[in-house]
Amino acid sequence: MNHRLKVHLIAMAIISCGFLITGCERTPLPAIPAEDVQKIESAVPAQATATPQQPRKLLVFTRTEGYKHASIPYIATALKIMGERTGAFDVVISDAMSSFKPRSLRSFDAVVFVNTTKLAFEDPALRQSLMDFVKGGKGVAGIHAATDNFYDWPEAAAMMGGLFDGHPWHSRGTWAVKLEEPDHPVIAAFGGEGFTINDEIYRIKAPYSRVRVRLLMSLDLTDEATAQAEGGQSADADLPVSWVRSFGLGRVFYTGLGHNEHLTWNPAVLQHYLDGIQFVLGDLPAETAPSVSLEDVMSRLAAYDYGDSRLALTDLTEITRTAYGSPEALEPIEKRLLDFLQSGATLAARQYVCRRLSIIGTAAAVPTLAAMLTDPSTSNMARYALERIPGKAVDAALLEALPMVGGNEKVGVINTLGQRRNSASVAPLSRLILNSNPTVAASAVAALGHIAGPEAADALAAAIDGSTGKLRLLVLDAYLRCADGFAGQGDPTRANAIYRQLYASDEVGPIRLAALRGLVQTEAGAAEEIILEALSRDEPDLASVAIGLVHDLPRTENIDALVQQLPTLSVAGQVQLLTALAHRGDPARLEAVVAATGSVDAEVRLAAIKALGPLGDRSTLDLLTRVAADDRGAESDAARESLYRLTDRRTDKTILAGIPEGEPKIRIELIRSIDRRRIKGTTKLLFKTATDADPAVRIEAIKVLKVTANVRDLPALIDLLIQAQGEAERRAAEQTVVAVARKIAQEDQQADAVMAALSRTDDLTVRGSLLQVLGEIGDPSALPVLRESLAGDNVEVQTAAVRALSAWPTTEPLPELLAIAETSEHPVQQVLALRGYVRLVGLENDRPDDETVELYRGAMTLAPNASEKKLVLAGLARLRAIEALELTAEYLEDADLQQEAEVAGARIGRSTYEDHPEQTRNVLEKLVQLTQNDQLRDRVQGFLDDRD
Amino acid sequence: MVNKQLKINRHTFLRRAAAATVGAAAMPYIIPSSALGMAGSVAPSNRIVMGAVGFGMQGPGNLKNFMIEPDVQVVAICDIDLNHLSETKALVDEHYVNRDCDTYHDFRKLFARDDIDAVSLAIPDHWHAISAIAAAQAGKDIFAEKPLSHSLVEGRAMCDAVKRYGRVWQTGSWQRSLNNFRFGAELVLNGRIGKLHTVEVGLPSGHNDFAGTKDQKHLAPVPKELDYDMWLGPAPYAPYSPARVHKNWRWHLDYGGGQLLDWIGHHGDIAHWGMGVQYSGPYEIEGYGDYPEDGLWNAATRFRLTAKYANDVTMIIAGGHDDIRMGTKWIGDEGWVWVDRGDRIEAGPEGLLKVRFGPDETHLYRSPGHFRNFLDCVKSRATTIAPCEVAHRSATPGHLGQIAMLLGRKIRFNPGTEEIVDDPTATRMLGSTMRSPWHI
Repeated sequence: MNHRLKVHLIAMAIISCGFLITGCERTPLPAIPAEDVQKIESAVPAQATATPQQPRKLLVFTRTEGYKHASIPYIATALKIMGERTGAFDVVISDAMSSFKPRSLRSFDAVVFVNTTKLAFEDPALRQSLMDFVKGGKGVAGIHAATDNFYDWPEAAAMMGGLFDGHPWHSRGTWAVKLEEPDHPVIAAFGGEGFTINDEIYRIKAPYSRVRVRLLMSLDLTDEATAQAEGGQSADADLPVSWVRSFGLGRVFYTGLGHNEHLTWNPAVLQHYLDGIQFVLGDLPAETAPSVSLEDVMSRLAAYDYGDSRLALTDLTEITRTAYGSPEALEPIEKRLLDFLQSGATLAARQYVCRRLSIIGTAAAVPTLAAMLTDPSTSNMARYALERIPGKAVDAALLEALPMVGGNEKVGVINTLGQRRNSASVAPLSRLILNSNPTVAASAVAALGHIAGPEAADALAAAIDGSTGKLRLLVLDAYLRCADGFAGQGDPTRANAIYRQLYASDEVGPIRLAALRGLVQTEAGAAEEIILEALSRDEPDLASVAIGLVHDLPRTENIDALVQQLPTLSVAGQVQLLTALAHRGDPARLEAVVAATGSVDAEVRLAAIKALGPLGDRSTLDLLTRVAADDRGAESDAARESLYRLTDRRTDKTILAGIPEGEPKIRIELIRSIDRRRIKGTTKLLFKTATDADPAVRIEAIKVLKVTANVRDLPALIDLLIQAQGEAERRAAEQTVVAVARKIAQEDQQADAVMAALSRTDDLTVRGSLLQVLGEIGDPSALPVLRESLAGDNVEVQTAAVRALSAWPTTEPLPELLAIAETSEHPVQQVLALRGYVRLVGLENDRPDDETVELYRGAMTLAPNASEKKLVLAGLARLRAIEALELTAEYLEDADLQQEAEVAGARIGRSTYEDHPEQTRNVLEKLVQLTQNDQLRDRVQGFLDDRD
Repeated sequence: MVNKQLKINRHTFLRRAAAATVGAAAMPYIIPSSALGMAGSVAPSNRIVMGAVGFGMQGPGNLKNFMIEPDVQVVAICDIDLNHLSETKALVDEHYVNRDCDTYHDFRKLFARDDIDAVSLAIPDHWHAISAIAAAQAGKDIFAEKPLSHSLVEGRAMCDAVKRYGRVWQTGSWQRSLNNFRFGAELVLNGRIGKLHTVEVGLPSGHNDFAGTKDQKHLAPVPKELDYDMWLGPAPYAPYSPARVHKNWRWHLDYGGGQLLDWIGHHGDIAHWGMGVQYSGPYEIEGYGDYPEDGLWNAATRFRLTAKYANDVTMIIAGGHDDIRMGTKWIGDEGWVWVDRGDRIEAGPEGLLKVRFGPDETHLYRSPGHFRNFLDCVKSRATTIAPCEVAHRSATPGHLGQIAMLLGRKIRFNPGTEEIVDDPTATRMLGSTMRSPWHI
């Protein structure tokens, strides 16, 4: 708000006419008052700090795609005057993206982003161009909002050095700035001393990092006002104000100073701008090495302990990340980290360093890390790195350590050997299978299972007999893993031998189940025999897994004998086999599935009916239709689904042939399937069926016509409506007419046929019906007809017209509905109109929310009883205006409406809080106090607490 | 084929089902039909006996969803927080009006019980692989939470174990069991939006303070009800802070994967469904995220990933980016579909929402309800709507995206071998080392 106001004031104060600019892109900026120009003139430095090595051209870029700072024309003017006076550079001011086209950009030596906001650089060619420009050795300067860009272009955000993260230090305050680097030429203007300044200062977030930029100035939190700025206290990292960095071969300078225009008549700030710009132009030499070196980070890290600030860790991560992929850059880092591990640093710090080494470590790290394996306090962390460093040196070191370590450390080393899957580890690990420490033994076994391969398999096979209890299970698990490995890697024979051995054993269930699965998969052609044999055992678990295997059996496997067994299986078995057959989609099994639909067991029948969807064909149509029509609950639903899914298209012809005669409930199922099966060319048949003697059949046909009929059929459909007998049929016909009328592409012609019919009939019921249809179609050309009907004498026709207007799809009939709600003598019409009114108010529209609230308020006063008022509250709940919240609040104590008002209030409050915190809080607190709904109370209270 | 009388010492529901009808016949599985109800009143002997582990957040809700099914009997629960354990025991005992529910501290002891058919797991991500693999080895069918795993390597090991032991597995990616998500995916698979080219997956941003512990990131004494060392389990050692554990562990990458991994198993999972890549994955991924520089929680608060899939399909996964709407949006050359929670579905052209699919078109799996679907499959041995392998593939762009963001560069991936291509540094980040003695 504050910002916007300022922009207006400046706009009013503008005298007119931009200043002259030269160059390829010109953008006239709003002019600034002459007295301000004069103040700038008097503050601009008299001469360049460094002599330009050649004539320099500076692109002053001012484009805003977000907030527009009023200081932009001031800063641009200052830079222009500065260039002219000092001769340090020529200025071109632009806000056109085309300035970044390579041909244009090439003519500049540097770009300064002056309070640009939300720049997206969507054109990849322009992104490339700017990157080439900087990385190729040119300069970029950023003033204040230059960090409020590039949110979705991380590389450019990194180039600028950071991103905007709020501004707790607002523009009205005076804040203290300290010099991080008093002697740096780019901040020489401040004379080596910190200062206070009235400006808005940003909090800056990543990609800002001291390991990437050289920080020049930051906020001074020893100053009380600065430290206590609202929202600034939680800042636990750097609060940078200005920095420089190198980027590729180029240079970048950023200063956060530049929100308030008066800074452009502050000589020190202008000098700072000039020095920064001369630096990026390449004329003023300045140090850009990052503020924090690896050495700095390591010394901070040495004291790091759990619970401390993580900044040193973040910095180390950043340094290693920048070096990823470059062995030359990584080598000194690794060396430093290894030295660190041998220093007296805390365990917390050493653990973190080990985790960095897990990503960048090489063989060079092995001796240091291996030495840490024996110490319980460092063994785990050493493994974090060792486990992931490639190369045989690691395995050798781990194996060497293996006999030297005990207990938990030994277990860790074993686990790491397992993860590394080096076959050289098999022999030493095998010797540990029967170790007296059960955890050591268990780990060794698991490690062998990971490594797998022939040697591991042999060792595990040899260990089975000697192991008992839990260990035996683990040995068998690892042995199975070896078998799975053989099966997957081209040695199914060896795999099969292990599966056979285990399946034939008397090991516990899970082991034999797994073996059974492996057996079926590695023994082509024998699946059926194996499964049948499994079924013959007294083991339901085994049997169920055996049947489960049918799911994924190749079609080439013969399962005739198995399917023949279907009726003899247990219920569970039948359900499982039917489900598996359906999944396998083998139509040759149809006969058995059909037979199962006659099972005495409901579960079996249901599974069989479901299986008929994927497996069935034309021959199962009668069966499915019969089950669907027989009102058998879940079975009927399943039968319908299967009927709609039969892929055999010849079924369609059979369906159509069955519609003209037969049992009505069967015919209804067949008619219904026309839509779901999307059968074409059925309209004629459906029209004929819509005049059938059976009312339910007629209704079903009329319903399906809704989908299949087209606009040419509309008169015939209206005839059906006119002839409709009974309420249900009439309602079905109405809906079909509406749906088909809406298929007319020209919206103002959708009602024509209905209006024509209306003019031909005097039958009151039919007229009422046609009016209702007009309302639902919502073609505006029908409105006069409805208004006419309202004015007529016949109450029934009037009521039908009210109903029609209430169903209208746009807000157009609002005045009529309000008038009826206010004045009608007929309570039915009044209520109908009011409900319609509330409905229409809630339709999507461009009306401001506060006006909508007024409409609802009117409806509230008219509403005769609670149910209409509830409708109003439901409508209010969709609004986001404070007025809506306040109207809702009036009903928080109304016993009949309390619940609806609470729900609406809670919902509206969420969106009004930001702009109206106090009013919203008042209402929500009242809500919390009054509500009986515990869940809602907690939710609203939580919402309020979060905003305390 | 060796056919030999075997020792039977497990008593699962199927065994009880058979025994209840015929007693010990020579070939009890091949028997006359008998009653094994899938609904309605179910005799105790025909119920699926369940145990549940973990009640810090999703656990109690999942447990209630199972207990209301008539064919389930929950007999045992496990947690390493005594408060969670006693609260949950009260919940179960109240439901069954008895005091029979057994409590465990170590899930391995619960898994060792022969009478338990299936387990429901709702514990932090860093525990997923160890617990799930142990359950599979013990022959339990498993319902477990998303994201499937804490790392790609662990996810693969879980899938292998579940397959090895022939277990029925359901992941808590419940959106699959709702009509709007399925219908949206069907529209895409049936070509109703033309050729699919872009999928936008919008996720939440920031760190949700689920436990109300955002201000308790300092070190603190371990509360006496919590076995903190077991809670840490395979994760690297770090001292206790309230904000590290219950409900908020997800915001620390040692235990979870932030919003990205929390939600990849929902909207990312649905995206894969419609893309028809349930058993595949991206071949390339890049992105960037805001990782907090300081403070206890280190998971990305805002992120954006671009993943490339076969057939020129690009998936954008973003949290905290206004242009990517929360939910899943598939965009083709002739239209688009968007789905989100709250039964929401939108499409362009709008008429797509009224489409019905004919018998020749793709009809996706219809689940009667996410928990019901699991139980039905325990009985029928059919594949569930969110099996292990599918959940693993759904989590894959999340895991790879995390690596790409932490690494700061594009990575390439072979979905067939599940290996990162030509990037040894990224490859090292596919798994993490477990603190001793834990291993998978």
